[in-house]
Amino acid sequence: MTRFPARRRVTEFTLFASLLRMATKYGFSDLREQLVEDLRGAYPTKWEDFEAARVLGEDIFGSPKPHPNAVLNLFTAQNVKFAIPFASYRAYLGGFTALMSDEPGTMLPRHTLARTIYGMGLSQRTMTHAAYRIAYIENLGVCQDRACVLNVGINPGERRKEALRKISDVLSSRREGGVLSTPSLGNLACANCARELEVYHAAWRRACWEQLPAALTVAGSWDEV
Amino acid sequence: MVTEVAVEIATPIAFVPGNLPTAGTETDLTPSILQGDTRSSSETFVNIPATALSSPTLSISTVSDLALTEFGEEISHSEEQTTARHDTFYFDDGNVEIVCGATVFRVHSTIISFSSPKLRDALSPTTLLSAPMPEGCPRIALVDNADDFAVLLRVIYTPGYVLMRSAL
Repeated sequence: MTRFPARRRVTEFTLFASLLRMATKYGFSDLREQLVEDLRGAYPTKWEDFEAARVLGEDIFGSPKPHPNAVLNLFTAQNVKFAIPFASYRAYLGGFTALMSDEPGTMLPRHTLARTIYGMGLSQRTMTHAAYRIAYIENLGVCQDRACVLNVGINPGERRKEALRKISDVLSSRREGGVLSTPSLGNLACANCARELEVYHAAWRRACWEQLPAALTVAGSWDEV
Repeated sequence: MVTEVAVEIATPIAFVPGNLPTAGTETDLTPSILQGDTRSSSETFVNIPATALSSPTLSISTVSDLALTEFGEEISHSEEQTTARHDTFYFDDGNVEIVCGATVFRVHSTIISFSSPKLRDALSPTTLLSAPMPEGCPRIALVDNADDFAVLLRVIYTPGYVLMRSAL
């Protein structure tokens, strides 16, 4: 039986950080276990959990929401290993300005900063390659929807090429939300083609997800974190 | 409408050509800066100079540093400084004083060490017997932030405590 009561939600970050530090330092294993367990939903280690999650990353903490770098620093210092890859991803979503933040508590150590930039750059390149493959190589078939830009009859030659370029840009994840987010194809293709593109893209996103721990040099795979 | 879908969804990673590295194949390209992470949680313990202690105390830099021979000189050279009792966690019937910075907590050693083997070691009878007693009970110093320690005490001392911001 655990000595500490189950908690309904995760508290404000600064208090959470204090408790985690103290629980770790003085060996309050039940308390640490409980604190870490509360994070699992927001820092998933499985693709299915990531897709199903309603609250992700630092949004799990009560107001005020912490800077993702501060969360990453805490997890690294306190060895919350399973959450480090996704915390790194969340930090990367803020862009380079946020990554390089020098506000108190948010400055990433050089090693962590390099690891995050390196790993996420690798993921970005993977998804850029994926977008190229999906748009130009996977042979999307011949759409006969007259409104679809992929309809060769309606949009031959240059127009189709231009449409594919736009689709590739969207799929390459150079957008808010990061490499793991679902792209919005808007009116770039008909519903059927968009669905097909999304299936391809989802498979690549999942592959990218599986690579995350290795790309961030945290572990070889999610099973090891 | 799509009339032909003659493709299969293969495992995407198989598509990656040699010139587009993946995480799995590129681990040897990891920058040297990524190779040397030797930090550990033990770094959360920091040494503080004896002169920073508020009053005659035992100074515990790390739990593993609890060797009595290390205490004597530090105690004898420590200087009297102002300390303040914590508003909540200074119990008259407590049996040990813990100093964090300028804040003194007076608590019950058996209660706070119940779930912590490290605090149990730190507050062992042997340690307490050799500690100074400026206020009538043994006093030891921990190199923790007083607010951090107060948060921990709140969890320890509140039965059925559900940690919510409003409760803090």
